[in-house]
Amino acid sequence: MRRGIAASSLGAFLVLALVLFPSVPSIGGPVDPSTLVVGQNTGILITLDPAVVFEVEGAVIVDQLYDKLVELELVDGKIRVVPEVAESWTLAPDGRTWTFKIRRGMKFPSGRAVDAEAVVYSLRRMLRLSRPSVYMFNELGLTKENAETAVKALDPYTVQLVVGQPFAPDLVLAILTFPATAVLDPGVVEQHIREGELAVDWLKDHSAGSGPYILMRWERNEVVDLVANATYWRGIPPVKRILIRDIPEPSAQRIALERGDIDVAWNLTPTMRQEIRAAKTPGLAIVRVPGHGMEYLGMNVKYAPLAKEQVREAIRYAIDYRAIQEGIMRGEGIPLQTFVPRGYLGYNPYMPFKQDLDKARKLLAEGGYPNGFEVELIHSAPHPYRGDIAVVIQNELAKIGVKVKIVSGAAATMLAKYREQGHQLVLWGWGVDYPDPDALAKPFADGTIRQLAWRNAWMDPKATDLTKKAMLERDPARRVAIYKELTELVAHKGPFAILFQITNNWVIRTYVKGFEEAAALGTFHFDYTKISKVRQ
Amino acid sequence: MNLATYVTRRLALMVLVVFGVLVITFVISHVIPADPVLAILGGNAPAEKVDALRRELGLDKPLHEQFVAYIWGAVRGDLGRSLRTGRPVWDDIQQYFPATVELTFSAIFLAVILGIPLGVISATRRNQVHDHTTRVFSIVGVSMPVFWTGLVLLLLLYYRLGWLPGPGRLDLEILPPPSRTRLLILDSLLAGNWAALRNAVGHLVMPAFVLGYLATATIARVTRSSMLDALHQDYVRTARSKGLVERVVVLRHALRNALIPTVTVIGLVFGGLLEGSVLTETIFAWPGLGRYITTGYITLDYPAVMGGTLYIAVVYSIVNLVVDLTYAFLDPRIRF
Repeated sequence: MRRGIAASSLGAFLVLALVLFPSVPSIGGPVDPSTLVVGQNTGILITLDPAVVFEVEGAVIVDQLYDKLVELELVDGKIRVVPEVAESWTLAPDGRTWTFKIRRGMKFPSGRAVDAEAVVYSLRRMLRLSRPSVYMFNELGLTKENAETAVKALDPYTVQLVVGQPFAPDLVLAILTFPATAVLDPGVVEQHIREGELAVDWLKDHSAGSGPYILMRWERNEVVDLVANATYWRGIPPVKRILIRDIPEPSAQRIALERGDIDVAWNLTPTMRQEIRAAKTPGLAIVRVPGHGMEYLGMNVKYAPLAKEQVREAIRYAIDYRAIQEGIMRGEGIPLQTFVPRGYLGYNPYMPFKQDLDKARKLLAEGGYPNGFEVELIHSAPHPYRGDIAVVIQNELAKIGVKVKIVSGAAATMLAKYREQGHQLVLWGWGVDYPDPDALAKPFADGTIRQLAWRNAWMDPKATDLTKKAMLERDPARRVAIYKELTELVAHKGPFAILFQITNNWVIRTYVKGFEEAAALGTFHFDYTKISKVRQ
Repeated sequence: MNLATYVTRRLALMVLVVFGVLVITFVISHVIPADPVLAILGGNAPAEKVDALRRELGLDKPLHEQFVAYIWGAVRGDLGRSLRTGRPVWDDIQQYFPATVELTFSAIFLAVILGIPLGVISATRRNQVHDHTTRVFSIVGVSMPVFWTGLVLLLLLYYRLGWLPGPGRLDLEILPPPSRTRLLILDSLLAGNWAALRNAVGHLVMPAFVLGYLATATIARVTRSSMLDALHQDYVRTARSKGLVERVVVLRHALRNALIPTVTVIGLVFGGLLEGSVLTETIFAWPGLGRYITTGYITLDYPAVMGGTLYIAVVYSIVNLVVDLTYAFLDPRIRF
């Protein structure tokens, strides 16, 4: 009898298991060159409405579904704005009135032409909705209130945009590459408007664009399914279907990638990439491109020792940048010591700081702290590398007598403290919203705006003045010269030690071709149309 | 007390329990020094936008006003909108809960069909190899973190051996059945979609086993000890002396009496499974309520956390009520 119980329960389990062992899925593997399967943590996705989306992952998907007036391209390692829906544009002598000529022959999947009316409809909708990303358009003087007058169709293929001031043209164009300017099919949107909400609910998980892909379905926390748009103006892309499969756990993502069930792993950790690199795992390749942001150490000048310029400079000379870039980041950080990243207009390769402890001690003494001082350093945790960087900084500063106490906590908690100027030292990162130096000068240099300089209680009238001057400078060469002066001023006098520029990293199967080109602009413009899969 | 009075009393108590859960969740999520508005807008957001969104979401109001507004809404069936997604929390729960139900109930099913026989075998072969093996299995089960077990099994059964499918609820090339109940297995059955059924069950085996392992171990241990107790009772000796075969003695006489503590434990571990499903859902990319609540916690999405917790509290209370009611069926002497 006893044997009976054991046998029957074990037998039941085995039968159940054997009957149910299905064949392992093959979709997305090298045998299926038309479908690309991406493993990604999609839990972060909130909406795929271009006027509302603000998360990087969401913006990358929206990028596949819609065309914008203008687009970004990487030319000789430099970010450039290129035509898309607008095939050309002119700026009137007043420096405020922009006229865009719309490309003829583009169509939405519904058959409707992509024309001036569609562009104006979409831009006005975005301004009226006034969601968080609208702040950059507000800075251009485009608001909910003036949407009707500032954005107009002059004829079926001409759009006029009147901005608030004669801004630097590159700045205006860079902001116009944000997903919020995506052109929607007005007919489709109108069909789904419910009272007072401009189809925000429907556009969360449906698409109405003319981009290379159409959103077939988004099963939350399961899969985002994109299929090629047969009416796309540049032609049908090589990959006909993109399945973005939700795999939140990086280890599970790695297992699925190594097994070949996914072609791209979006969220592997730096350690995993390092292991794959070291093991030279066959069939896998790592793609790394410069990212749009940097890691920095912020120094709050409200804290007496940090108020001294010499002390801040001493800290900059005490940091071992190489140890951070090579020892911790393992090459995944790009050397950078000014606030404009590589590839941007105004990028300044100026790198005056490398560890010099004697110089640091001398500066500290000049600042009135020959024996050092005690200071608290906050950072967010868990984080892939900030904890390690904090320890390196703690060790190096100890060598010049500065005793660092590290305090880590949940990102939201630490951020709240930082935003209220409640820290002394902070280890944090900055992600850029639009690829123009203005998007960095404002936070890093202008202490009158409640941003990074302000949070570190640093105000320098000259830096503020240069920031505003560069924002309105219409000559690119003069603008570059202003940013050179400004970045060097902030590098030495400001409250930051910039540690490195971040990179974006993916791990892919080697039969996925063109990924590097597709990802060249990082997450600002991810171009899945450049990807293909090659049979092996 | 008759059954109706007992159930009514328990339901009234359930309201109190749920209210208590809500108060605790609300207080904890609101006193932590973090700002949900910043979590939504990110660190780059200008201060004016932060203030404007705080007002729009009603988070500038005093705590007690926010709580009263929430309770009033909940009483009317309105759990509010997720701060993060803007969707009604009730819609989100309807979307994610079925996946958790499928996983949790499969786990408890596996735990029961494995745990009880293992406990019985252990007790009837006390201090023999079977007993020792089961005890090792149980100790490993109660001490092994779900996260670790999950990854090891994925590595072994999915990556190395290829016996079971990987993360997710269904292979990508399998067309899902029309969604009637959102319970994939039931929907596949209703639609007669056998390919989807096979595949969905295949996907369920590993996460259900990982989640159910802890419960299996607990159930096996409790069953073993109550069986040992029962096997030394006079009525078992009487049954044996009447010449009944050992199977009847063990199953009809000892096991039935020994089941009451096991049933109690099943009710209790069910709560643990709902809680443990958070990690299992993350490892196995299972689109359930546990992950929804965890994301809510990370992004400080209070309505999502409160709505999800409220729902789980109600389900847990109901399951325990059902468990208590089964006592009477197991032991006719029990009256409510």
